[in-house]
Amino acid sequence: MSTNNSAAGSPNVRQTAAELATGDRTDTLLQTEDLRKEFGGFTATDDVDFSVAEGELRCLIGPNGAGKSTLLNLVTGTYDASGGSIYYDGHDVTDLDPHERVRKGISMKFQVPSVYGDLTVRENARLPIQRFADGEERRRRVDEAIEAAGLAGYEHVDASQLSHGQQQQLEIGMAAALEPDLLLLDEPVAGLDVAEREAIAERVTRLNEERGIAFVVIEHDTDFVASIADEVTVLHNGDIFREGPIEDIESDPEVQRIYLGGEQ
Amino acid sequence: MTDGITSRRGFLASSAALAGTALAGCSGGSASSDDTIQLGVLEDRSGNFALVGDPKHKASMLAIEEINNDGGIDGKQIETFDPDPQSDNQRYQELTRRAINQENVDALWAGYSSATREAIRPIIDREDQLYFYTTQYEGGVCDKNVFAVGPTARQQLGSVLPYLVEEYGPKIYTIAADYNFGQLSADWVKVLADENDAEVIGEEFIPLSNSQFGSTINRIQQAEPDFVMSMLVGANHTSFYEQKASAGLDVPIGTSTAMAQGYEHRRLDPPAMANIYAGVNYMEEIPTEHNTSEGGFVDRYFQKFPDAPYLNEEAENNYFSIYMYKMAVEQAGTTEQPEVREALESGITFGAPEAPGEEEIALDGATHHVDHHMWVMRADDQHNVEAVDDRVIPETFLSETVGCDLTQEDEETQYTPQDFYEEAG
Amino acid sequence: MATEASGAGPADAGGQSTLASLRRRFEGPNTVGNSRGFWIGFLVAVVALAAYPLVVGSYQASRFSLFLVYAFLGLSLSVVWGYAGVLSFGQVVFFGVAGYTFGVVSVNFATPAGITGAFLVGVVGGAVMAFVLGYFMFYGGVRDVYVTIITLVSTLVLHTFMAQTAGDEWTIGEAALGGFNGMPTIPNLAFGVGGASITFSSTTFYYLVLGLLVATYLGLRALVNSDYGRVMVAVREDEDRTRMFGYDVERVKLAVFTLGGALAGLSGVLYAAWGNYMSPGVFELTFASLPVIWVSVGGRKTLLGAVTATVGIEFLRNSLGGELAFVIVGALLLVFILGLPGGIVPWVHETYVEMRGDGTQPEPPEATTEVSD
Repeated sequence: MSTNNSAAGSPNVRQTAAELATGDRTDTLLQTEDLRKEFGGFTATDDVDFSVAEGELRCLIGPNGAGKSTLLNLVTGTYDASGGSIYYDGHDVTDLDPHERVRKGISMKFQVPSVYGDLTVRENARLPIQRFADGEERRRRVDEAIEAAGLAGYEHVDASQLSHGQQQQLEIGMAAALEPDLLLLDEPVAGLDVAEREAIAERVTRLNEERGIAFVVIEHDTDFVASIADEVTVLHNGDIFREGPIEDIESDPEVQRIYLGGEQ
Repeated sequence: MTDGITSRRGFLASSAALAGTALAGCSGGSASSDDTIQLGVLEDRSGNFALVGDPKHKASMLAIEEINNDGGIDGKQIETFDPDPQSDNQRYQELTRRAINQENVDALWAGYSSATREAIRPIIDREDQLYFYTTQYEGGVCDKNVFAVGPTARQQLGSVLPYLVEEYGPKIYTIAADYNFGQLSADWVKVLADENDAEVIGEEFIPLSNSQFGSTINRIQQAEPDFVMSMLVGANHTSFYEQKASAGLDVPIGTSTAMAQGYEHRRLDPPAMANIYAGVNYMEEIPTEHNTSEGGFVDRYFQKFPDAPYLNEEAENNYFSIYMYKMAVEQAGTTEQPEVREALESGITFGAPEAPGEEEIALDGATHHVDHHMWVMRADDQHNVEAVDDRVIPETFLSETVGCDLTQEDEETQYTPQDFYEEAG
Repeated sequence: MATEASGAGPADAGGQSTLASLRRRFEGPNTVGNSRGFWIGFLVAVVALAAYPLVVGSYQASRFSLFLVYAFLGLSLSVVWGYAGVLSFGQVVFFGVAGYTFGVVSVNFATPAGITGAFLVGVVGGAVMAFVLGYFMFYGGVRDVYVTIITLVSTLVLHTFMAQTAGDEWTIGEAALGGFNGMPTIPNLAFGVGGASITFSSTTFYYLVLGLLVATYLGLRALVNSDYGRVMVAVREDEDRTRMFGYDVERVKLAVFTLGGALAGLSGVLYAAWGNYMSPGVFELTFASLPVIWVSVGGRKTLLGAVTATVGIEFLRNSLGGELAFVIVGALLLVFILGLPGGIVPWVHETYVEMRGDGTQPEPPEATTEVSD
């Protein structure tokens, strides 16, 4: 049962997916080993071995409460791991603070849009960029980021005045402006209409192809997932349930069952 | 962006500054002319110390009125600068500066608490202002500009403690407010105990904010002292007396702070203050001619202030020190402060209300303190107060132990017993 | 917060005078007043303040200089709370510690050189204390309301501690801490060595404080409008987000908190020199809450608000006097928190801007989901 009417059906995507399918991976960018997170007595992440290759576009799906956001937060360092390790680009980053991991190349867009509401669009865009660019180059990059987010003309509008979709675009733009190697998106299309979703899907795909940014995207919308993903990881009860290309996952009855509430 | 307009805010800011200038400029400072004498009286009539500060102000005004009616000082009438410092030390500092710099007072009476005195002493010393501090205090201030005419802790405790040792026995339990005055007074209790063959068997310091004395009362009952020495201070500590009465604790209590200043024996219901012995130089009930005879100090005070609740210890200090100032000015023949100071140091005596019969109390020139006539006043079950003992107790700490002599050498120091007595350490 | 594009836009070539480019350093969305009119008004106000002692005499000038001294304390809270989001009730801790430090050092070394040293040690002392407290709080993971509680508690602790330093054992060299009675005989402020020194009192002190205040205000303006200032504001707005942009948020908070400690310390040293006296009263809860009241009423997110509200409220409080004044100030706080939580100055600014009809918010183009290539 393929619902794969990919909007971004460029040959490149398929080729990368094909590469993955044949096991021809490029270098591993992110690797977790026995990664564990406990909140009191509750195990949110259960000895997970999760890996993402350079330039890969991975989607992370699963029922609510499966531990998807937790896993991302562990990768960024917002949560301290209760056990296990995280390797990024060959380095053990388990003990690094979030801002140190960001400087190594990980970037994130939060689940709840968190642009700086009181600041204008331009001021928002400038913040990540000012850390590593000055003067003319800074101006140029900020202009680019604003344009790429489709917000040209909104430069001096307070970010809180933007629509939900515009805020999502702005945030993705800000996260991407850091020029990361790995970009984590937590529900980028929640609450958006079809046209907005397509726009985001196109943007993500383009960032992946043109800049080689690896993605881990948490999303519930299967159409969206299908349109962008090289590979999909299904989380359930804090652990990896299935991994593979979207077609396999979609047709897997076990996966259907956990979504419908059946216990493993 | 239009540039031609001065911003409204800038205009507002400037006009506010100018308005403030205009308001502040209305200071109306007056200086003592050749015809009048300017006296500064800064006493609390509101705030924490209103209860004890108000009588000081009233008694000062009484003295000044009497003197003016009698022809003034050397024929010159007295004018006063007497705003209310509101128990606020910062206000005291400000008003002291104003009194000295704008009002050009010839002499200054200011402050109830030692903290106030210390807050303004730097200003006094910098400006060499003649200053009378009239509250009972811990003692030890040897300062050429300061005349500390209230009784010291050594004088007050030195009147009541030996009496109680003789009456009741040598075992003493001390309770005191936990700050400078209380701690230093407790040191003096130890010194005096040593001098009178008595012993301090227990000592407790109570924070000023504390008003629950249950555990303290328990400890006193367990220690079974012959008498208690109490240097509690402030409104919160007043509840000790009520609580001890409820607990049935009837050990005799000697105090330098209770009754004479805040007239607890009038405010609390009997028998809260029963068997309390106050060692003071003055209380409204002092049985001297100057004080209680017809037309005496008490009568004159309540005639001028019929609604006043009580005539307290410090009020008398203000009263007689103003008269002493008058005598010094007339002796010196001028209000120039260095000359007046010299006159004060030459040995002034005055028939103050605390002195019985024809006796006069003496201002000791070397130490700028007063050799007070001290009284031990006892309250009974009905809160009637009577004198049980009295004698003159000179100031000895500065004059004998420290060797402070301001006629020979200028100083601006406060000494403490710890430096001089082993027992106090 | 609405912003105006600053008068000298980024696209300007060097044709504008250096004055304009100088001005740009001090202007930005993080401070109020970005027009030439503002700067003219500012200049007028400074001149008026400079003329004040000549009009009212040295006693009134001395009285007013206390309010200017407090302005540094207000600024310290504005920087820490308004710009970095840390609500601290403990600015008076650094104020008091610095004042006492100045007292102890200057009483022991009462020469101009010694007093100059005491001044520096005092300010540094305030900064160091803030650094230590901040380090344990921020790197210990203490967040939000718990920071406020801890700073409040440290105020209470210091009050209790200082109030019982009455005995002789609490003397450092020649300087007795004095417990409840406080430490008197703190000398006037002096800079220099021996003959080549100035001592400040009354009018000269007023001018010193005024000069320092103007310099500090401008310096802070430049800081908060710089890149670092933007990071401060970002930390205030959303710590997690800012962290994820690669900024070491703990380090920013610690740095800003230390700066706040230095400012509060400067205020405390000037205060000790003004009154020649320090007492534990500076650690009382009533005094500790004053900076919060000042910046809440004035507008904590603006430096101008902090300064004007501090001076204004203290002037009012001093003129009214006593408990009544404090009740009124407390009521003022309530009124503002309920009605105008952003404070006066931002409100005045916005109203003024609206009335001028400049239309600061450009009309947003119609919403589109097209992502341009």
